[in-house]
Formats: sequence, C-alpha cells, structure tokens
Amino acid sequence: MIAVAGYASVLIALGASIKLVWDGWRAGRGAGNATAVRRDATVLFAAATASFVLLELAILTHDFSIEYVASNTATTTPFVFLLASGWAALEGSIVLWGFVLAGFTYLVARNLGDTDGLGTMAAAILGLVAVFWFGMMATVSDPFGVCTETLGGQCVASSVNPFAAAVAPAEGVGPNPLLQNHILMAVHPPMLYLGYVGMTVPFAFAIAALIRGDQGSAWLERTHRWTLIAWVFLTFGILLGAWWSYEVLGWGGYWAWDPVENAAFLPWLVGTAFIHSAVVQRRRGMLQAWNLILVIATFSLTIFGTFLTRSGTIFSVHSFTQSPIGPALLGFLGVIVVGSLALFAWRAHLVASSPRLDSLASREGVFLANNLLLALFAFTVLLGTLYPLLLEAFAGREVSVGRPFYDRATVPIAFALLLAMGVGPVTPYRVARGSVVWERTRTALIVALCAGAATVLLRVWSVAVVIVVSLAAFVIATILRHLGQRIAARRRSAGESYGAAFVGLVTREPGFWGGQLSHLGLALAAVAIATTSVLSTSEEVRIDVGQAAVVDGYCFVYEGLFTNPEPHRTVTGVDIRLYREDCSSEIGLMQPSVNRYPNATQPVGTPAVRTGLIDDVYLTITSGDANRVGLEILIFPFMWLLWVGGLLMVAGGFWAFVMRRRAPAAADPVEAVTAGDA
Amino acid sequence: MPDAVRRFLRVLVPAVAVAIIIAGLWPQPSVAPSAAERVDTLASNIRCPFCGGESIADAPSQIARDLEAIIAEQVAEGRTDDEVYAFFEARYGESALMDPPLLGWGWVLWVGPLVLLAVGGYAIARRRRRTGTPVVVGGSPLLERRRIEDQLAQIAVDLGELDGQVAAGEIDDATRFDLAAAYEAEAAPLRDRLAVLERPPATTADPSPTPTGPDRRRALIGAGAMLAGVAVVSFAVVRMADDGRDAIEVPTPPPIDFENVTVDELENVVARNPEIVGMRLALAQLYMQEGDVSQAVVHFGEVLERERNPEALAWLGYISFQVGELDSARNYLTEALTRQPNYPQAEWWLANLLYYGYQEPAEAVPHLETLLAAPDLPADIRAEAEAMLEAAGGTG
Amino acid sequence: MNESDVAAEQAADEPSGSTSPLFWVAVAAAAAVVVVGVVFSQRFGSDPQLQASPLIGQPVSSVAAPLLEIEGAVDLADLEGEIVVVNFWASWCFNCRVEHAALVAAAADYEELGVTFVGVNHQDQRDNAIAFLDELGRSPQTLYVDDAGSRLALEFGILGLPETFFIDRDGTIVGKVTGPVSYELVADTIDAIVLGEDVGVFKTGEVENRE
Repeated sequence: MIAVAGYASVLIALGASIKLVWDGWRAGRGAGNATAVRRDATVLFAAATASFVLLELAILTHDFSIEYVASNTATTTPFVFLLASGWAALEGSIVLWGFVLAGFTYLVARNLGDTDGLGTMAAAILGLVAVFWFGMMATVSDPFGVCTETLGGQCVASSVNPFAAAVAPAEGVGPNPLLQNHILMAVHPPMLYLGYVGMTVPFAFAIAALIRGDQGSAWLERTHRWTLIAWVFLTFGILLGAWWSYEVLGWGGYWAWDPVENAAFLPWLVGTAFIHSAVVQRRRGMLQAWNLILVIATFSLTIFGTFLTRSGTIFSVHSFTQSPIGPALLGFLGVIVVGSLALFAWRAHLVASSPRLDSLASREGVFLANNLLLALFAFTVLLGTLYPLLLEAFAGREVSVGRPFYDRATVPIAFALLLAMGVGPVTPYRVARGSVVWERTRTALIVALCAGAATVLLRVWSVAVVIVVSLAAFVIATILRHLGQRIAARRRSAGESYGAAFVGLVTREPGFWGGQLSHLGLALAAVAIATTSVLSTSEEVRIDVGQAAVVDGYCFVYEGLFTNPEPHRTVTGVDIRLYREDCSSEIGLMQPSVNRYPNATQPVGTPAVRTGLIDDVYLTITSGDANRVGLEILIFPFMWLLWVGGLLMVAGGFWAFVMRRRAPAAADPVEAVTAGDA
Repeated sequence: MPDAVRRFLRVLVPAVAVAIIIAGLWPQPSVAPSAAERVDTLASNIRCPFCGGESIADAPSQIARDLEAIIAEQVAEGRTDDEVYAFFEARYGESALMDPPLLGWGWVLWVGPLVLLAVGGYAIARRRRRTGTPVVVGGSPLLERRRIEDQLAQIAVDLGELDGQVAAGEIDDATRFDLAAAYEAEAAPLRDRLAVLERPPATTADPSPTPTGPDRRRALIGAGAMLAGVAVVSFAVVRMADDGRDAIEVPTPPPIDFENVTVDELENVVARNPEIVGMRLALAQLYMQEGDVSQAVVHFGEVLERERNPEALAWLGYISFQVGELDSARNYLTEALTRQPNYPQAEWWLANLLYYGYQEPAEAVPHLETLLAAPDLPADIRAEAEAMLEAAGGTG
Repeated sequence: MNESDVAAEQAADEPSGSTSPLFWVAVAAAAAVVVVGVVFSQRFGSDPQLQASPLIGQPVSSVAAPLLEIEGAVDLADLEGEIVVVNFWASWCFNCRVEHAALVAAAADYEELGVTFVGVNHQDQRDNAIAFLDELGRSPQTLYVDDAGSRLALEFGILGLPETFFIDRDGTIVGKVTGPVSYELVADTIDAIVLGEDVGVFKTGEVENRE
C-alpha cells in the first residue's frame, strides 16, 4: 500500500513541477502572476515531503515488498540507521535530493512578489530541474519499486508498477556495513546534498536573468544568501566527509584525491570563486558575465559530482553501484551545460557589464587573482580526475593520477591563494598605492617571519611547513591588526567600549567579517594539512599481551582482547593502555576494533583516536589474537587544527548568512570604503 | 628615543627571523633518503590495486600493508626506485603508477593548467578600463534604459566613494582627480544615450548603432555545428580506440572453434591426449556432423570406457534409436538422464523415442513436461515439444 | 517598471552586438563538455574494474608458497611441464563459494591429463580457510597454498577474488578469468591450451576485496 501511495506522491510531484515550469514561464514573460507559481511550488513541496516520509515509513515498518527496503535494511538494523537508510542508498539519495529541491523551491516561491518577473522565471528553472529529478524517480530510479522476484531470500527483480504482484522476502539484506559502522555516514551525504541543491537557486536566478536579458545585480542580490548557505553546507559536508574518513576508515587520512572526493571539491572551489567575484560585481558593477559563467559552472559541477558518484563509470571506494540513472544524469548534465552556455552565448552581451577595472593593483585586482587561482585549482583537479578516462578513451592506455600529481600541482596554487588572502582584505578599491598596502601589512609580515623562524627553531626542517606557517601567520595577523585598527577607530569616533565596538563592527559588516573568520579558519586548516602530511609518523608494531612498545614518545601496552556482541554486529577489539614515553604515567585506554556484520563478508575496522593539543595518536588493528596484537600506530601533529579551522570556515559563512538580513543597507561611507566587503 | 628603538626593532626582528629561516632551511648537503623514507614515497606513488584507486600508503587494507612490506623488502635488497616501479608496472600495467610520467600524453596534465594560467592572466590584464568604451547598446529600449540607469547609479556611487577613500588616506588627490575624470567620461555618453531613449517613441525606433544580428546568429549556428562535429569526431575516435583494444582482449569465454578444426587435426590431438574426455567427445560429435556415424560410435564408446559420460550416453542412445535398437537406446538415454537430470537434449530424444519408437505417447508426457519446464529451451524444440505434448494429451 | 511592458518589449528583442571572447570561451567549454560526455557515455555498461593484464604471455615467476594444511611449500616455477590452473580464493569471498565445486570436479577430471590445480588462499585466516574446505569439500588433486604476505597475489597482479589463471606446459601465463569460473569454462580453457589456441582475459562476474 505504501508503494502505491509513494509512487502516487512522486507522480504528483512530477505533475506539479511541470505545471510550475509552465506557470513560472508565463509569469516570467509577464503573462501571469505569482499566485499560480506559489500554489504549484506548495503542491510540489507537499508531494515531495510525502514521498520522503512514505519511504521512511516503509523502512520503519519493514515493508520488504518494496525492493529498496528489502535490499537496504533489515529488521535487526538499529533505529538510527534505519532512518538513515532512507537516503543512504542510491534511490533514497535521489528522494532526499528531490525533497530538498522541493523545499528550496517552496522557499523561493513563498518570497515572490506579485509581479516578480525574475523570481517567477527562476521558479520555472527550479521547476525544470525538479521535472528531471522527479521524472527520474518515476522511471529509472524508482524508490517505491515493488519486489517481484526473490532468490535465496534476496530481492532480485522489481517493477516500477506499484500494483504489480509483490513478493516480500522474510528478511532484508541490511545496510552497507560502512554505513552501519558510523553514524557520520548518515549525516555527511545530506549536508553535501543541501550544498549541491542550494547551488540550484543562484543558477536558476542567473538563467532567469539571462532569459529575460536583465542587466544589473538583481539576481545576484537576491541569491546572495542562498549562495552563502549552500557554500556553508558544502563546506560542512566536505569537512564531515574528511572527518569520517579519518575517524572511521582507518588509514589515518582525511583526503585521498579520489575521483568522488574531487567531485565534491570542484563545486566548492568554483562556488568559492563565485562568492568572491560576486562581491566585485555588487561593489563595482563589474564581472557580470564572469559571474554568470561561474554560477553555471558551479551548478554543472554539482550535477557532474552526482553523476560521477552514481554512474558506476569510475572505480572508487565511495561510488554507488552501477545503475541506469547514470545515462539519465549524463544526459541532464549535457542539456544543462550546453543549454546554459548556448543561452549565455546568445544573450550575455545584453547583460554583460563594461570593463571598469581602474588598476590591477587594487582590491578588484586581488579578487581577480583569487578567481584566476581558484579557477586554475578547479581546472587542475578536474583535469587530473578526467585524464585517465580521456587517455583510456582516446589512446587506449590505462593510467592513474593520484596524490603525487595533485600535491605537486595544487600546493603552489594554494600558497598563492594564502598570499592573496593575506593581502586582499586590506588592499583599497580602485587604485592601491604601494605605501598604503605596505603600511597595512608590515606588522603582519614581521609576525609571519617570526612565526617561520619559530617553526625552524622548533626543529622543523620542512620548507613547505615553514612556508605554510608563515603564510598562515601573515593572514591571521593581517586580519587581527585590521580588526584592532577598526575597533580603535570606532572607539575614537563613538567612544564605545572594546566589546561594544567589536560587536558593532561584526554585526554591521557581517559579509566582510564573516569572510575574515572563514579566512582565519582556512589558514589554521592549511597549517594542519601541512603538519599532518609532512610531520606525521607511522609505525607498525606487534605487541605480546602484557608487553609494551614505545613509538614517538608514547608507550603502548597490550592488555587483552574483548568481544562485544551487538544486535546488528559483533565488535572485536583490543585494550591498549597508552602511557607517556616512560611507560608509567598513564594517558588513557584506547580500543581499536574490528566489526563484523551478519550479511557482509568482510569485517570493517574502526580505529581508536586520541586527540591531543600537540598531536593525535591513531591506532588500527592489523592482526591479532589474545596473545599478540599487530598495530599500525600513526601520530599526527596538530590534527585538531584542521577540524577547528574547518568549523571556523563554516561559522564565518554562517555568520554572513544569518546577519546579512539585518545589516543596514549602507554603512557610513568612510568605514565602508576602508573595510570593503568580502 | 622609544621611537628610535621601535624603528630599530622593526628592522632587527625581521632580519633575525629571516636569518634563522635561511640558516635553518639552507639546503643541506643532500643526504640520500633513508630506506623508510624511500618506502613511504614509493608506497604513496604506487596504486593499491585492490583498494578502489587509493595508493598503497593511503589504503587501509591488509593487502596494502603486505604490498608495503614487499616494497620495503625490495628496497632492502638494494633495488632502485625505478626497478620497484617497473616491478609493479609489469604486474598491473601503467595504471599501477599514480604519478603519470611527463612522457607521452602526460604533458597535457602539466601544460593544461599553465595554458589556463596564461590565458586567464592575459584576459584579466585586458579587463583594464579602456578610454572611449562604447556604450553597450541592445535589447529593448526599456531594458536598455534600465541598464543605463543602473550604470549611472554605479558611477554615482563610485564618485561618492572616492571622497571617502581620500579622507581615509587610501588614495591621493591626483589619483582621485584622474579617477573622477574617467568616471565622468564613462557617464557622459550614457547620459546622451539616455536622453535619446527618453525622447518620444518615434525616435527611439532608430536602428541601434551596431546592429550585428546576423553576425551573432551566424556565429551561433557555426558554434552549434562545431559542437555537433566535436561530438561525432570524439565518438568515432573513442570507438576506434575501443575496437583496437577489443582485438587484444577476448571478452567472452573461448569456445573451441570446431568449425575450423578438421577431423584429422582433432584425431591427432586425441591420440596425443587419449585420456581427455572433452576432446574425444568433440571429435565424436565432429564425426556425427560429417555423417560418419561408425567413427562417432567408436569414440563415444571410448569415452564410455573411461567414464559414464552423460553426453556420450545420450548420443549413443540417439544413434541406437536411429538404427532401430530401441531397448538399448532407452537404456542409454535413461542412464544419461539419471547421471545428469537436467539435460534437455536427452529428455527430448527420450520423448521422441517413446512417442515414435515405442508408439507410447502417454509415457512421453512426463518427459515432455520436464523438458518444457526448462527455461532455456531453444524455441524450435519448444514448439515441437508443445505440439507433441498436445498430440500425446489427445491420444492418451 | 511594469513587468508586462518588459515582456512585450522582449518579443522585439533582436540579438545584436559583436561576438566577444566570452562567447568563444562558452563555445570551447561546451565543446569540452561534449567530448567528456561522449567519453562517459561509452563507459556505461563497461566495468571500471576490468583491466587488461600485462602478464598474459609472461613466464610465471618463482615464488615459494607454503602449503595450507601440511608442511612443505610449492613453487609454481617448479611445475613446468604441466598445465597449471591457479585459483585465488578466500573464505570471506562469496563467489569463491559459487565456483568451488566446479574447480574440485575439474581438478579430478583433468588430473590424468597432467593438469595441476593450485588453490591460493589469499588474505584469510588459516582456521577460516580450513573450515571453508571442511564445509565445501577439498579436492585431493589440488595443492592448497597460503598466500603468505600476498606475494602470489602480487605476482599475478590480481584485483580481487576470485581470479583464476592458466599456465601452459612451458610455464607461460596464457589465460585469466576474473570472477567465478564454471566447470565448462575451466574445461574449455584447458582444452584450448592443449590445442595450442589463444585464451586471453575474460570476466564472468564481480571480484571482491577485503577492507
């Protein structure tokens, strides 16, 4: 019964999105008003919500006559993982995606003015994306397909027709063990989806502006907060993915330049470039055409990422299994890219702004450099990801592109970006005199050199680490100095206390100071990336029970083996007592483990991580029994900086998003000019 | 005095810091990397073939640790890095190396970004304000007017901000003067154009100064054709590359192609390998194809001497049926089916034997039913069997 | 500004203006996307995991592998003169279960022809491996060896389990099967080797990897 209701809700959502395209288009051409658009979006949202809720209901009631439920859940699955199964596998992820898209469309439609041509046209574009998405759910990616044939207790055939004679296996297969191993796996993908889908809104407004030939920054102003929140979710999603890799996968890494990881990183890079160049357009009326290109690219890359993860055409640890939605997504990607670019080529001259760059040595110039570097970064990553495919297709050779290439190619770009990040925010608009920039960065330069020297004195001989620490110190010192100067200025002019001046500053210019907080976070994260990749140690040891091993200033004692049967898995782990080097002052107990799941052939390991201020101790089991255990011991210096830095980036973006609405339309001229906007 | 001290420190502190950094990082007389370092580098440059595209160093699995140990062993044996890479390449092909060499197509990876950097840098340099920038014209008069009003508003904001920047000491008066002049120069033609647009509609219908519509349309058509061409060409190239590889790889199991093997060749093989049943069966079937039943019988018999092979039994049953020895045919076929219950060919022959040979349609019915239950029965046999079942049902 | 005015005017909106560099940037980007799209579309249905093995036609290397259940060791290079079927398996591998009976039967049938079967137990616990053989039956003609340190796996460049290799009487690797084998496949391949025909690489199913 749920299958019928669920499939009906998908069809209703599909119908509503088709109607939305029609009504939105008419209203966008001035032939209708927003009332119909609002109604369509409401129906779409209600139907999408119903499909999501019904899928969850089917999972929670163990309706194994639905193929998705039978293949991805089991009665023994704990409640939280049951809930997460609603979006953890292929078809479910599409349902969640459609649900989020419908929700965003509803929010956009709710805020439409009655004769809002741009907004209604954008709603039509959102509807067009929804048509594709729900069309896919109604055909190749049907979450409510009923199981029509079982073999050995597993569902082997299904039908889109919800009235087909259904057979229900007695028990489901259960979720992928990797999902069940850590709850993060249930949170990380939805964050990415929120980021991906959020980028649809600026895309829709940009296309609407192109279709209507609307020059000016209206589309940009109206989607500014959408872009910010999408970026926040995307950043958070990537951060969670890195953390999941680190905490769960057991090799101590958080980034492997895997094609699927790259696919999430690419829209982030281009989206970040867009956020920066949008500032220039809002501020100086430049770069309109370039911003349109960036928005189209960002959205296309989100679809590309979705495609890469789900097409089964690339071999990756993260990919879903092969499915017919690959060709559908590829076709959609082609339509999106070629269609948007054709529209751009046809109409861009109507909306393009005239060149107004007064000098390359200016804030605008640094923004352009930032955009060039981010675009270069994205292009390099994209090239590395696609190169093996292209070479195989055109030269018939099978090659791999991995970490060595990415490290070598992107590290110099990252250095240049850090430098631009330090100089940019204090460079004046229009024309920057050397003396002004020098005056504003001199102190920070001294701090940077001292930080570099201190790193050397701490016996770090790696050139890369010294450069990163110096650049990060430069960025942070510039920000703090600028903050200090601005607070002092406010105190002078308004006689405020330090606290009041600080609060006043960051609430009046949330875009700029939110951006600086993100910069600060990125600088910290950069330090962590350098220290953990260059200064980490790794050693494999075997310890007899009751014995100790000393590695890099820590002492590890093997105390014994334990086994915990849990309802959905069996956990086998070891007790390792961690001491300081002397093996007598205790730090704590660490319990790396290996988990076995009933329907999975392979066990999943879980490392034990102890986070400290100086370094992380990271243990995984390589072999072992009650008498002897083999451990891989990894020590990562300043790992926590990466997570803190990442969270600061998210917080900065979030601050700009939340406070933007309350910010006054224009700050007083002198302040606005010196602070600018970021 | 404090001022002088501060100025002195401002020079001294960075100088000392730079000295420390240079002294600390001064290139050491290059020490050969330790064995452990070499193993680390090698492991992160070689793909772990089992681990979804991750390098041996990055992959979490036990086999990655094993491979790391093998690398360590080879390094300890004194192999060079290139020898270790070659060792892996020989076993897993080029894709074992995660760092594609600059040779061959590898240069694309390095030149691509550099080209983008150069093009992007050039494009940015060209974005400089040019004097006498023409007014962007086009679109409907209404849209154009709004566009010009937007630009004028922007210029007004720019002019206003100049004062603030001078007050904050960011730009000097000379620069301000130049910039203000440039902004005014930008605004003047816009104002003129706006005045034209605001005249009565009759005059606004003036043709735009740069009506290059056909040009753009031609460019669009050209671009569309180019894209189609690109699609066709790349499709063809990919297909060609695919074909090239198919010739090397055999994607399907290799059936022994008896069509091209002569009886004599196969006789030789069987003579050399007298015990190999498959060969002999193939030879016997080849004789059957050629109509040499007596030779076929010999070889089927040889097979049966070695093992009670169901295929040989069935064929002997068929031959017996053809020559009229109904009882032995029945024995052979029944035994074949006992040894291999799911054997549609034998089932079909037995049904035929019972129906036509013994004239007992009712006895043929269960065999026909078993036969028709087989999912992968060839269509012609299925049709014949169905017809026979119907006839048998009618008479029995 | 009245919206309906704008819309009405748009009907008369003639494209104009010269083609800017951005126009050509857009066209180039679209062309690049089209090429990539074509490349991807050709990959549907193909298996990203399947690779041509560079080992076909190469002589088998000399690696001594300890026997799984008894003392002693086997070196494949010492088996020259016999046709050798090397099968990689493990107790955790599902398809190894599927193909086990076929391998046992083939090993029995082809023993007299001078075909040796070697079952390489890869990435497994010895107890689990022996339990697997206890459960599904062991072939008396097959040499079960332990892939200590994954040495054999590396020598054969395997990508997952199960994989089966065929070595001719000269000690040259001539064939490789990725995925489970059937009796007919093994028999046909051995027959082809006897006949001196090409064998090559083919795939019957998915291979599995242990995390």
